[in-house]
Amino acid sequence: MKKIFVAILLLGVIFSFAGCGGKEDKKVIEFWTLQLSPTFNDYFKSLIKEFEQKNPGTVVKWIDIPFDAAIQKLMAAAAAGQTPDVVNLSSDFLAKFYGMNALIDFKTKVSEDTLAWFLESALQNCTFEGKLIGLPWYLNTYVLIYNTEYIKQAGFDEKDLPATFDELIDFSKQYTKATGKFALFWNIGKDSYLPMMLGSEDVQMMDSAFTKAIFNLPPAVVLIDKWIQLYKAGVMQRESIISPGSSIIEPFQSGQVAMVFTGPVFLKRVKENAPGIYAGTGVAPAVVGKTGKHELAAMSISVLKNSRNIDEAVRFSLFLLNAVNQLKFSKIETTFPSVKEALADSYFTSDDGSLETKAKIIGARELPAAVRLQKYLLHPQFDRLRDAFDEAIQKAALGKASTQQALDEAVEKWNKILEEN
Amino acid sequence: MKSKAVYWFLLPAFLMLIFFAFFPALQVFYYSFLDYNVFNGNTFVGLQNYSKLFSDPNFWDAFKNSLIFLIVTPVLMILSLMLALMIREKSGTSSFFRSLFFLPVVTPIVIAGIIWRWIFAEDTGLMNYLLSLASIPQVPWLTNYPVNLGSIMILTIWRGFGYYMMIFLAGLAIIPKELEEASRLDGANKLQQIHHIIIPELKPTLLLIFVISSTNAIKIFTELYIMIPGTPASNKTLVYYLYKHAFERFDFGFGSAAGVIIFILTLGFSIINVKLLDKENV
Repeated sequence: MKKIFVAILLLGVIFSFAGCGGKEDKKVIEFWTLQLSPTFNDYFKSLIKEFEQKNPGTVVKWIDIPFDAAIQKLMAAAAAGQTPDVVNLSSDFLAKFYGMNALIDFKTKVSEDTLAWFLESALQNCTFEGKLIGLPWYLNTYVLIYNTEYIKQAGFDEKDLPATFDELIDFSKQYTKATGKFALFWNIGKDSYLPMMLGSEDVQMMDSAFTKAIFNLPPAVVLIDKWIQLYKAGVMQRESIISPGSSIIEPFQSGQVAMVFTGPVFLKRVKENAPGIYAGTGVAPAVVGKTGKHELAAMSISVLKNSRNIDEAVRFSLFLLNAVNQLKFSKIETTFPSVKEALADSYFTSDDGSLETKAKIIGARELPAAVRLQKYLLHPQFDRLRDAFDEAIQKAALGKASTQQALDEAVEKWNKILEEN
Repeated sequence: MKSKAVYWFLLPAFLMLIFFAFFPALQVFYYSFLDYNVFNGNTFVGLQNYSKLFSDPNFWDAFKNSLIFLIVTPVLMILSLMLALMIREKSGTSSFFRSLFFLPVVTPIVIAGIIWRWIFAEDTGLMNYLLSLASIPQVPWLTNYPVNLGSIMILTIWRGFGYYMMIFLAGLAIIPKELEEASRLDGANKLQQIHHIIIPELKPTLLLIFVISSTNAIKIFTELYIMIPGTPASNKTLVYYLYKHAFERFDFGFGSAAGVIIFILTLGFSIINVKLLDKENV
């Protein structure tokens, strides 16, 4: 009995060593995405299977993490020396990780010909001081989502919908006058969209070298003050100065406002959470300033510097981002690919009459004119800059300072932060 | 022999405490002297994080707000004691009210925060609607400081009074009945009984509740995170300040320095408590 026990024990030890040997042969790529499960489970399973077949000896381990906890999880993993090899980051996270010098420069690993796959504006989103620290993945731009019933009840027609920021201000005033309700929910004081408006109106917040803030000069002050006055006149919901960007869709789907200016991807949330509102929802092109430019929101793929398998990680990133895989991805949810070949596919122009399709066609049409309008988000200290700007807007909106005074203070704070870097 | 066995039984819990509480807490002291970077290594910066902390006006605003927030402690103590006195006698009605008053305690904080955010919503919320019915001007419950801090206090009191009421009920249950009966025979009214019998007898309970509620008040975070995340840093309290720097900006060294200050503050309250309790026992 004792001999059998010893034999089993020895076999166990031998097999466990054999297992270790097997693992050493394979190179494991850990790949983290931001909140794409369960919608994309099948997509990633099949993509990873195909990659592993084409690259014997490489195993891809996919882990999906919630968006809100993404950075915390990444930092915790880094502190434990267990960072992923390939990671999906949004633009602001990208800036943060650039500040930490954590990501590889793809220009040192990928040929010019391969980089030519991507839209130039999308590549710009991932370029920091000449370094390409991410490759653009799925993109999004903005559309105007509106409640057709509310618009009619207020005496408007769909042709009256605003196309420019000035028209949006006038429309909001008329709507409130006619109904006593709010036309639009738009975050102006927390994760403020006003920098996006300034960018589209061709008013810069900083000099081109990112060394000096200039949004306290008349062109910016005049435009910002229009929104401050709109808020003070009671034409915007009072919480629009403190609600974070993530809450933008809530007032629309609960029927509190008639319009929301955001990404087409939010239509799905309205459909799931408020089918009644969705039934009467329409979409129109995004509101723009005098440049006609739209905001480009890009998700990107980065490879961490401390990855043990950088070459395999880059190979997997390019496989994930090729035209075929990006097109498949965009067909699952209303997003846009970052590679030109996929964006040229007829899928982005074919109309099946649904709201999502309409939004998709509008978005795809807008995409070539879309750029990162909120340029300060490309600065590693973007969060401190954003807080200073947001606080100035809140101060002005609550009447604690004039718009000029509040912006002067914010510019002073920005210049100090910019000087530090 | 028997006493040695006790230590062996305590060992697992003690080890857990060392590894998961004391050791990380000590590490925070160490980190507060570093420029902490998980990717590129840490740099020893001496007291730089502390000097940066003390020269940041937002830190002093947060410090002030944390002290202001201590207002909830006496309110909670008075309210929960009053309710405990009202429902201390066992009856069907008192059981119902005990359950009712305890309900906010078991409501998850996130749900409670969202509900109260709806109640305080300035254009669509219940509070301003009720005020409008009484022709009272609308109140900026969430957007404007210090009103928004008051809104958070209301939520904290609503969530806390049931818990402290239960502790008071336990304290009241051990006061000898004879004392109150004798005082009644001597002609004492209810207020005199509370003043001369109940309060002195409840002193240890009062001290305990004072310490628990004041340290909780200093540590307030989730309520602010749920209800007024978008307000400026000057509207927030110390723990929120710590969270912002450590977990949003990933300046762990600086966040650790803020953590050390919070620790010193709460330790101060604990020492006061120990001194007062010692005095009581003498």
